Amino acid sequence: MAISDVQQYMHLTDEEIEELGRELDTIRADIEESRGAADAAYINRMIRIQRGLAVAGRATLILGTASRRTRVPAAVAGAALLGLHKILENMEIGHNVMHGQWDWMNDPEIHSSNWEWDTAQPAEQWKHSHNYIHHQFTNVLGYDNDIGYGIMRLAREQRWNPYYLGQPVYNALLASLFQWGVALHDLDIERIRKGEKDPAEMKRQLVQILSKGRNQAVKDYLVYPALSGRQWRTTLIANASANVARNLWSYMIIFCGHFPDGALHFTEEEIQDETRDEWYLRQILGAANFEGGPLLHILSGNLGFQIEHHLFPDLPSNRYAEISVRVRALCEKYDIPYTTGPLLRQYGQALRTILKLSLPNSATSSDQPEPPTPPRDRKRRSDQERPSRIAELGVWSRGRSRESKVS
Amino acid sequence: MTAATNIERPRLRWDRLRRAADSLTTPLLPDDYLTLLNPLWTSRELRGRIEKVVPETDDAVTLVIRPGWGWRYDHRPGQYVGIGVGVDGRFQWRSYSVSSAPRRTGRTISITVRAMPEGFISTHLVGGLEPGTIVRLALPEGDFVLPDPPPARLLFLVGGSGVTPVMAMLRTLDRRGSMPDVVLHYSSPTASRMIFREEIERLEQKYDDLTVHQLYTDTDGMLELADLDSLCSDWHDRETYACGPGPMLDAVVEHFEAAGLEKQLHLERFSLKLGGEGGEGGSLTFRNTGRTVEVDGATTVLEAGEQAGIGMPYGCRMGICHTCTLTLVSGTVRDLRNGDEFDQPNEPVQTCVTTAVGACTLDI
Amino acid sequence: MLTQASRIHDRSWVVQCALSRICGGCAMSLGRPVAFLGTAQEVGRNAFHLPPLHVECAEELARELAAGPGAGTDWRLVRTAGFEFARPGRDDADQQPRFVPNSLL
Repeated sequence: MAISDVQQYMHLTDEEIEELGRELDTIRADIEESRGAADAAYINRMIRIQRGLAVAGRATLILGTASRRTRVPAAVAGAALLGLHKILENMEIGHNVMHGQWDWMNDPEIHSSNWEWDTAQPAEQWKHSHNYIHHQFTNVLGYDNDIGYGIMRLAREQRWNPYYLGQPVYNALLASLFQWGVALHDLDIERIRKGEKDPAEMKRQLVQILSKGRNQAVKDYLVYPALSGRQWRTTLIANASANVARNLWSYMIIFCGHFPDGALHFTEEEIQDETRDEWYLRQILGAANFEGGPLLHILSGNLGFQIEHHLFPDLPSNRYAEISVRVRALCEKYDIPYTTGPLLRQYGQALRTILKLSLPNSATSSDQPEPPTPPRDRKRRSDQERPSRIAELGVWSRGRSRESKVS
Repeated sequence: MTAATNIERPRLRWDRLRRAADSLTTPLLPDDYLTLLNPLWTSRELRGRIEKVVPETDDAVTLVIRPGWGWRYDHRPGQYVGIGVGVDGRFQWRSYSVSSAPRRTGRTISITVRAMPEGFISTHLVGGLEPGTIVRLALPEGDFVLPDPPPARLLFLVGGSGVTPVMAMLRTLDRRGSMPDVVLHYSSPTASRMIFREEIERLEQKYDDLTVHQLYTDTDGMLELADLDSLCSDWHDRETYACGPGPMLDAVVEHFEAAGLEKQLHLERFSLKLGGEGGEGGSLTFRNTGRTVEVDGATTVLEAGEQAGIGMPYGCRMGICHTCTLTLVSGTVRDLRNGDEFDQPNEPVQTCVTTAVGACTLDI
Repeated sequence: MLTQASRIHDRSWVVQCALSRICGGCAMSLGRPVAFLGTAQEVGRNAFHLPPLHVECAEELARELAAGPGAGTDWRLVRTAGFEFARPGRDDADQQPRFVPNSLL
């Protein structure tokens, strides 16, 4: 069920929702106040470790593959080091720096305006498709391209057609080629197909993507293999494995953020004239956390605290753990569902949704939990009292939904 | 082959090498990895390492800095550099005059810093920097420089830590071994707080053409510019370089303008010049303590609060950082920088750059 | 180049600039430092309503505003390394989203 009125869905009164907003503001203010040298040391340490891993991985592959005896272990170790370097760079460093989490340090070398990350998508396009589209329109059908990445059906409101029968295959392809899928994210294939995209803008974006993608591919599949001399094939395979490992990992983490059962979808009328407090509430309901130790959280860019990240996308990621304790307490106080679970269970739920929704709605049942029941002293509003809905619910494109409003 | 291509050759090769290395490190630069080995091996941002911290007086130190790649040692004597230090995780930038003489072959530069009582960064630089600390640098700037060749006759009017750019000039003249006719008038509260006192005395002994007047203002009072005629009878004929606290410079400007000699006066200001008109003054009430003070139109709200013994928050004292912002419960204050008035009830105001216009109440 | 100057008061554009970290004047990625243009009161409150800008775009916009729609207002420019984006609460007197510079230069 997609939600059109978050506040009503939650049965919260105006006063309660305002109080929730104020308490979340206090959390934000506390963290801003206490940002300091320890946080700066944290991100600098992460960057040093990541660059050290990169150097170690490249060196292991070039030097270690020279002798026949060390070739295989060096290839395995090198690929693992490189994979870790890419995961750390993309998840904990690149993603978070580009959100502006570290801009407060006034360090020109760690700043959202000029950070370029080690993946095929140009940073400028990421800041649009992710920071803006995904974070502002989180889980809003027809706006947020992260719902299925434009090729999959992940909400029951999206109309089924036989194309979706291939969903398990598309899913496997997306997972293994994730960095290229992300690279095309901001192009908005959906709009190109409908002929709505400005050709000049599309050309500018394509040039950016091709140039960044070329640099990335040349580095991993040409330059470093060439440097390995006769063992070029080993290095090439190891580099490809590192890239695929990073792709699978980041795909899994990102799909755990919004598609496990309990992370809700919204319709567009929800976001019109939304106040900050409602925005906060929508972020809590639309995201899902997962549990794990400190190492798991670092390797996933602290996106296991997806709820906290969506509430405060520009607070430093190393503080999400302590924020989550306070957010969870708030959710208990206001009886707001706080979706979390072990990583594999959360991913299992997302995968189940992907498989189920490859079939028409009538063939499967929904796994979404029932909405919270209203306390006895509050009544649900009757249909007459609800705002009227746009006739065509769950339209899956910005263009179509605009048409339906005009007509 | 011309000389020009001779010079460009190695550079071209170096550039090509760097570009080739770029394809290994894309999207980062090779420098980003070289800094793992040595933090100075990068030209992305100018960096420096603190080599030595030399105490000059109780509250002033000279920082000897070894700049990293990309630095040019061709600053002109009297110029200042920007230095960025991490304080509580944030890079904070300040400008300080270089006190060492420029040397093309040199490997370090020196800046001399005095801890100002209200200067959060200067205090950190004086007390909190260990040798080995990496700082950020900005290239030298400023027009308060000694021309080349230097004027035949010079007068330096110096107050307190304003000596630093002048010291770079004197050291440059000393290094060249050709001291023109120089008179230095140097005011400092006491002898022990006088930065570079011993070095200046040595220079005075070495050069007959260098005359130094030391003035200890705690015991002998401020320099009266009317006395300049007796201290340096030919001051009209000298190119004059003045550097020191704001009130001193204001008096110097006035004196030279009165004599019609402002063309031969060169100034370096350290602190913010408040251009706007002050308020009319009035009674300031601090709500939590109930204390009330009468203030004139030139005293800032912050100064008034401090005099009244209120624990006023402050930072830069220049209207930049907003640390001092308090809520104005009622009344009107005027911004000294531009004359803007703030009179909305419960309006946040920057106390360090505002003065009272009539009765005001602040929430502290 | 100020291609987007007409949209600087458009709320959805302001939100987009805040999150995409693009300049409200020219729609390109923000630089460092980030510039905010505001009235004396906004500077005093350290909370701005116009979207973040490049320093050059802010200077150009200040000139345009002074010559046209914003004449009579004393536009100030502040520079910061970073900013917080604050959405208005339901009972806020000020119902516009605001920018709070967090590292003024």
